[in-house]
Formats: sequence, structure tokens, C-alpha cells
Amino acid sequence: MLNLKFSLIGAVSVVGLLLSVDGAAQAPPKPATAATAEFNKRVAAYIDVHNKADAQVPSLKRTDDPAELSSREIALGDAIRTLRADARPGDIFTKDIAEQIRQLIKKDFRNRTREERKIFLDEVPHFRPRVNQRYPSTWPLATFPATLLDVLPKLPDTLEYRLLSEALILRDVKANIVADFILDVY
Amino acid sequence: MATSILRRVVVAAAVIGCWLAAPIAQDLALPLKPNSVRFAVIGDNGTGDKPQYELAKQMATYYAKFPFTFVIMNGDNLYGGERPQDFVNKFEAPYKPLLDAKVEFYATLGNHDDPNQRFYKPFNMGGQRYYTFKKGNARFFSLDSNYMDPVQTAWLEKELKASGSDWKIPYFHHPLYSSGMHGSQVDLRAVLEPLFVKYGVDVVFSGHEHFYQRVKPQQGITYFVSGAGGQLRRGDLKKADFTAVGYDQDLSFMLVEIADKELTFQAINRAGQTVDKGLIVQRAGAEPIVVGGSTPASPAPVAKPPAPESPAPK
Repeated sequence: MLNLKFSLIGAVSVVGLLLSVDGAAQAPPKPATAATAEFNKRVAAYIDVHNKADAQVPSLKRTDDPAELSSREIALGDAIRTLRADARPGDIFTKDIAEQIRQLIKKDFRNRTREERKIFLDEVPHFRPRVNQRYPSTWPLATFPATLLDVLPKLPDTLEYRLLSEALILRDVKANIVADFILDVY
Repeated sequence: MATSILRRVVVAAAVIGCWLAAPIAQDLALPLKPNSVRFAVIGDNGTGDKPQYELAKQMATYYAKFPFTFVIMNGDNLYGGERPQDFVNKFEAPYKPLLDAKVEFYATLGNHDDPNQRFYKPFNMGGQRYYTFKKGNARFFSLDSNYMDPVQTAWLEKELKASGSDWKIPYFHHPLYSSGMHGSQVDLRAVLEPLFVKYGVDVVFSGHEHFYQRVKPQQGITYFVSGAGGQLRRGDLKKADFTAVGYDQDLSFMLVEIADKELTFQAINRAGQTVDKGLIVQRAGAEPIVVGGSTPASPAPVAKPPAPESPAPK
């Protein structure tokens, strides 16, 4: 009787273990927080606008002529500005995701040594961002800390995060414009 | 007495004059082996100012003796504006003799570069922010160190793993080791160095700091900073235990030759003087041997022992 009990317990344990291993292998990705999900939705909406604008300008090809690159970038930026003429700060970075990102950056910054903070802030531009503004070519694009990129919500190729002296901006790479920003991130 | 003093002054002046007028040595320290991979390295070059042109001229002079087929650019290819005339003044005009000779330039993005430079054909980036290409027995990995996101590191790992080349050579703007104003990029190092070690990288080139620096092998990897192709931060090299050779007194570029298991390098300043030279020899199952080192301040080549820092798992 005792043997049967142990056998049953053993069988149940083995099945349980198998189920849990199987479950772990097929576990769905961790659900994004509501704020991240909303952010992703808004990023996708921006990409739709970008794609619409992209279709209105000549396609970007590899070229020997730098004038083509420059005029294409400006034309794309203009087309996006027209399509989202009413865009306001916070349209993509909602209040909730902005706060989450702000906390992530502040925590990362706090945990850095003095030397690491110096590198973090190295050549960070000092201009006040505006939505839809062209990123000024007189300022460098500050290097984004690789370890911080690991913890921020992922972005499609068209967009990237960049740091300014007091802000995090969302930059449209091809159009070279500021899509949105968060202030007070350090 | 007065005549004697005058004669000494005249002789001294003559000696100094002769020294000043002496042709500056432009000795090639590379072996020019048949079928070798030959290239030059520049970084932080795109100023459009006179010093960039002078260094470019020196590169062309060396090209006549050492016909390299391509140049890798460590970033900051165009400072300031990126109007069409900037591409001309800061790239096409200074390197015209090399471009006319069909020398190819392979750029990487610096923090002063608009990522849309990747569509500019003469930079050979294939429309990509990061890319790879092969020359002989060497594979090059041009990385975008401004934005090292997980997608890029996954790509790098895949490419390093797939590379059967004898020499794997990543290059990117921000140095993992540097004793200059910007300092070592520890964030990037945390992400990249484990991959470099795991997949047997021997040599890495970077810029960002406006000087030349060769770093003692770190976990078997020799890091070069070559970021004085147009900009110079004179006197910026701080003392650091990891420095093998450094030079911050003038602009500089590098020439490199790879023949089988040997990589020979030479760093040259605007006057054509050699500021460092040496040899890196790959060894199966062991850290490479690095021999070399000379600067105008210490002209005698000094043999450097293999990396003392760590028993690297290579």
C-alpha cells in the first residue's frame, strides 16, 4: 500500500516536472506592462506616419551624390512634419512610460561611478528639444550607453533613443527629426 | 675671443639649420610581401582643415611606396555640417589622389556623423550602420559604437561565429581602452569584449581620442586608437598601465599589412615620421606575440612580451 502511495506520488511528480519543463520551454514572453504596450502602439502609429511620408519622397538609394542624401533627408522630415503637424510632447512617450524610462535612467546613472558618469555625459548636446525639430547638425549624436539600451523598450530601426543634457529624445534616424522627448531624465 | 664665440654661434646655427633642413625620414617599416592585405587606418579626420589635407598628402606619399588597396575610417568622417560641399571639402578633396587611384574607403560612424552617411557610396557601408567585409584572410567588422543595441550585438556574434577568417578585425569609433580625455568606454567594453575574446579577435581599431595609442594586449587582443586623422588633442595622453605606445604631438595615420599569420603595423605622423611600428604574430591556441614600439621620444624598438595581464581563453 505504502509502495503504491510512493509510486503514485512519484508518477505525479514526474508528470508535474515534465509539464513544468515543457511549460517553461513554451512559455509566452513576459507580458509587457500596460505602459509599454501603449508606448509600442504609439511607436507603431509613428512608423505608419513615417512610412506614408517615405512614400511621398524619392526612394533612398546608395549614391555618389551627397546632395541627394541631404535633400532626401530634408524632404522626408518636411513630409513627416506636415503629416503630424499637431504632434505634441508626450504623444509617443505617454506620462506612464516617460516615468518608467525616467526611473530606469536615473537608477542606471546613480549606480555609475564618477568616471562612468563622465563617460555617460561625454559630448551630450545642450539644446532644448522640440517635437518635429530637425536634429541640429552642429551637435554630435551622443553615444548611447550600451548597457542602458538593454533595459529600455525596444524600438524599430527607424527610431532611436538619444540623450541630451536634460532630456531623452526619440529620433527618427532617416528623417533626422525629434519625434518626441522626455525631460528631466538624470 | 669674440671671433671664437661668433664662430661657435655660426657653427651651431649651421648645425641647427642642417638639422631643420634635413629631409625627414619616410622609411617604410612594412615587409611588402606578395599577396598581402594592405590597408591604411584613419580616424576623426573630417575637418576639412589644412592639417587634414597635409596628413592626407602624407598618406598619398606613402601610398607610392606601400600601395594599400583600402582605408578603414574609425568615425567622425565629417565634422559639423553635412551639406554636399562638406562631403567634398572634408573627404573627396583631401583624399582625391587615393580615390583616383581606386583606393576604397570603408567608413564607420562616429558621434559626429549623421547615420545617413551609410548611403554615401564612397564610404562603402552598403546602406548599413554596421557591416562586414572580407579582404584576403582578414574579415573586418565595422560597428556602430554610438548605438550598440542588442540587435547589433546579436548580429556581431552571428558574424564572428560564421567567420572562418584567420584575422577578425572589428573597428568602431569609441575605444574600449584609452587614456585620453574621453576615457575607456566601459559600457561598450562590457558588451563587446566578451565576444571578442570568445571568437578569437586579435586586433581592434578605434578613434574618438585625437591621438595615437597602442594598448598592451588585453586578454590577448591588441587595441589601437587612431583618431588623429584631422583633429589633434596635443598632450592629452595620460599615463596608463595599459599603454604600450602613445603619440599625441601631431596628426597620424596607420599602415597595416597582413601576410598569413603576421600583421605588421606602422603609425606615421604628418611629417612622415614613424611614431610606432611593430608586428603581431598569431599563434594557434595561444595569445599572439606582439613586438614593436618606437616613438620619436624613444626611437629604439622595444620588444614587448606577450600579454602579461591574463591567461586568455583563446
